[in-house]
Parts: sequence; structure tokens; C-alpha cells
Amino acid sequence: MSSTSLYVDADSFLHRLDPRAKLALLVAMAVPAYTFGRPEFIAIPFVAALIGLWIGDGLRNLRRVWFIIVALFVVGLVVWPGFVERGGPVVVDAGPIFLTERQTLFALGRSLRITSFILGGLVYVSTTSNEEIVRGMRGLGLPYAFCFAVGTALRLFPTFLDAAGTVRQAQEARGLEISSKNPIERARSFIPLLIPVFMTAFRNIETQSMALEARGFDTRSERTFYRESAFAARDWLAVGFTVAVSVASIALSTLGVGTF
Amino acid sequence: MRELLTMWRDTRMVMLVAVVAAVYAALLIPFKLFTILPGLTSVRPANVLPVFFGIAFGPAAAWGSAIGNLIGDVFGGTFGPGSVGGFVGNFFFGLVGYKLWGNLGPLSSGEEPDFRDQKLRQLIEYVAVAVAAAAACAAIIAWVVDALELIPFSVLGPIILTNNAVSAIVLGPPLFYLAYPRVKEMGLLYPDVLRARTSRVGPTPPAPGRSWWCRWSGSGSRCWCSGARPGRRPRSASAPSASSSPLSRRTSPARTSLPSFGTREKGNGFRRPTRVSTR
Repeated sequence: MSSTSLYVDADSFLHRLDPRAKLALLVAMAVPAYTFGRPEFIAIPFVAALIGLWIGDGLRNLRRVWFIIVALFVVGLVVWPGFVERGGPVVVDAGPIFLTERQTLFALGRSLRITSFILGGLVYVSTTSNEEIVRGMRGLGLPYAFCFAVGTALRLFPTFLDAAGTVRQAQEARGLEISSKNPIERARSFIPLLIPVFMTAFRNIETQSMALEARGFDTRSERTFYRESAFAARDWLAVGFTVAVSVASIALSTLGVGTF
Repeated sequence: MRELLTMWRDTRMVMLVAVVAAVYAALLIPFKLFTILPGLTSVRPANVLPVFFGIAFGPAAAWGSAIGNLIGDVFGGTFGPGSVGGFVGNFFFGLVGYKLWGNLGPLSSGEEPDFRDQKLRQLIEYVAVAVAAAAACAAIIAWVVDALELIPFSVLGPIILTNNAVSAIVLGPPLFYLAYPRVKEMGLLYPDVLRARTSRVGPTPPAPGRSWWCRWSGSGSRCWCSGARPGRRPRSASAPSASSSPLSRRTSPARTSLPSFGTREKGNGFRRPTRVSTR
């Protein structure tokens, strides 16, 4: 497995859950984050996602994506006040920057929402291996050919990523300048990097296809699997929790709780 | 549009989906030019790939781009409800290219996208296709993200459009010039894969007075079998339909002992057969 993977090999409660149950928990985190608008309510799924990361031993992944999370949070804070009506007491009045309490809370809620989504997704990818992701997709009833393509792509991806790095080093060693200040020149300098990578990738498609067909690969016939996914009691518990949280969130927000 | 589903029956198309997805994801992550909105979008050279793959590989590229973007989200740490928008948006980013190339009326060059003949007309057609594909992708992603109330449409839409269009327009022509002939030589162009498959499963019986190849290729009255007019390609249940793909009219040195077409006949968009492959 390439070091690019965010999966953390551990034996936590979340790791033992069926991938479909983990998807259900992701929904349980996303629904309240979406239905509520006030930041103090959206902070609940945000904190839940952080706890999920701690349980799943995925906090180390935060170090890899903290910049994205902070940047999204800041972008939300900057952008959203311009899209909501002013209301309540003035919080900031510094020349062109004029923010009311309503604008601030609204923007804070949206920023927490987007970061909650990202953290929830991080919990899922930290506790679910590539194979489990594909198994979960299959368990959800997606067609086998589609799942096969996703699984193959997930396996090939690290190989091509390494190839891309190697090509980049090789071309730079030959004098390729990819840090030009002219954006057009800089973009064009990527051509010598792109072509070798994907020409290498596509060269073997013919033989790989023949190898698959020689082994009886057929996307239309019914398949059997050595390892069938079975929903355990804990998985049903996770689904039940998701249903309860989703219904409660929708009901409360319909009643005006946690919204503006 | 039926080919988007029937292509899954062909092993080579399935492998193409997987490889397109893996290559797209592998080039998305390490090669970034400029970050526009941190964490949300940046100008990435890999954004040219859905357009290139779309025109070359047809529906396989649409699915591959969608899956590749999803893998990019998973490995990049941005997987979440917004990934649904990324999946659908990138699907159309790959789809629009092969649907529009050759079908833009007066804007169409009537040539293969190799930027060797009629370069200016090809460039005009390519820019139109790339901007349309980028706009479709941007509209879908921005709409989904706005529907999730994460970032307003009016902020994200133009950014994604610019981001996708700049990479595709700047890098597309040289990429096509250098890579398209090689992909064609490998026999991986969408109509070549279909042709190989159709020849494996057996052709649809031709209508009286008209050969199967003539009808499939749409070569009409100039077809080597002579005497036939342009007709619809067969839509058999076993072979994905390519009726809307302009690539089916293009020169393709097929590996299936089928005729390869030469220079374009002015005005009708079809090609005169010049040789028959003996491979």
C-alpha cells in the first residue's frame, strides 16, 4: 500500500464495522450538520467526527489534511457573510468590514458544516481499507463491473502515482523547468510529465483485458464470492442510530430548533 | 446514451475505465499549479485529461473521470457529501467531449483531433468542446455544493469553470498532437474497441443491398462496398451503440482487418476508403 493511503490499520470498534454501517454513520453525521444552521448545533457532529477520528486512530491523518480543513473553514467565514442579510448587534465595524451577529453566526455555521463533512469523510477513509470500500459498494448492490473498475483503479492508483513521481524526477534531471513564473509556460511544462505516465498506463490494457477474459472474466453472469459480507448486530445498531439521529434532526429543524 | 451502460459488457472498456480513473487520480494529486480556493479548487494540469480521454475513449472516460475524481477525494482527504457532486460533474466532464466532437455543425472541423490538418478549425472546435465540458462540470459541482449550503454557486461555479477550462485549453492541443496518434496506434480509440468487440461477437446482418461495415461506419455512398447511402449504425444488444460518436467516422488503423479510411471528402464529413488493413 502506498503511503498516500489515509487508511490506518488498527482494530478499533469503527474498523470492525461493516463498510455499509460506516457509510450509515457518515450519514448520521452529515444529516444534522446539514439540517441545522446554528453553529452550536453543527458543533455536535463536528465534535462527533473528531471523537470518531480518535476512536479510529485517525487523528494522525489530521496532520496531513489540516491545511485543507483550516482553509475551508476560513473560506466559509470570508464568503458567507456576503450572502446573508444583516441582523442583530454589530460584531465588527472596521471600515469596509461590517459584520452583524447574524452574519457571523451564519458563516460560522457554514464553516463548521463543511469541516464536519470533511472530518466525517476522513473518519470513513481512515477506518476503511480500499478492499472494504469496494466490498461495501458491492454490498449496496452496485453492479459488479463498476465495483471491479473501482477496485482495479484503487490498486493501480499508487503504481501510477509512483510512476508520476519518477517521471517528474527524471524530466527535471534532464533539465525540465516546471517552476516558471509565466503560468502558460508553467502549464505547458507539464506536457512532458503527463504523456509518459499515461502512455505507460495504456500500453498494457490490451494484454490485461485478454488475461482477464482468459480467466473467465464476465461482467454479465452471476458471481459468487469467497467472503460474503454479513451484517452483524453492531452494524444494525449503527444503522438504527443513523435512522434515529436523522429523524430527530429533521424533526427538530422542522420545528425551528437550531435554525435561523 | 445507451453506450454508457452497454460498455460495461466489454472487458477492454472496463479496463479502460479503471486505468483512466487511476491515471486521472494519480496525476490530480501531485501536479498542482496554483491553488485558487485552498482546499476547494486549484489549477491542475490533470484537468485536461477528462477532455482528452473523453474524446479518445468515449464512455469509458466519462466513468473513469468520475471514479478518478472520487479516488482523488478519498486519498486527498476531501471525501464527503460533496464528492457526489464531484463524481457527477467529472462524469460529464468526460462525457461532453466525445458527445460534442464532430457534432458542432459549422464549428466542427470534420477531422480527427490530432492537430495535424486544419489546425485552426480543430483548435476552434476543441476550445468550444473544452469550454462546454468545463462548464458542465462546473455547473454540476457548484450546484451540488450550493445545495449542500457549503459554498455559494456564484463563487464556486466561475472558479471551477476557469480552473478546468484553462488547463484543458492550454494543454489540450499539444497533448492531442503528441498522444492521440499513439493511442490510435494502440487500437484503444473508442470506435476501434467497439469495432473489435463487434467483430468478436459477430456483425448484425446487413440490410439488403447494404454491407454491415458500410452501415456501421456511416461511410455511405463512398463506402468501399459501393452503392449504399449513409445509414444508421446497428444497435444490436450485444454491441454498444456509437451512433452519436463522430470518432466512428474517423481514420482508425484497426487491428481487426477492417478497412481503414483515408482523406476526408470535403463537404460530407465522411471519408473515402483508401486501403484495407491486412493486419
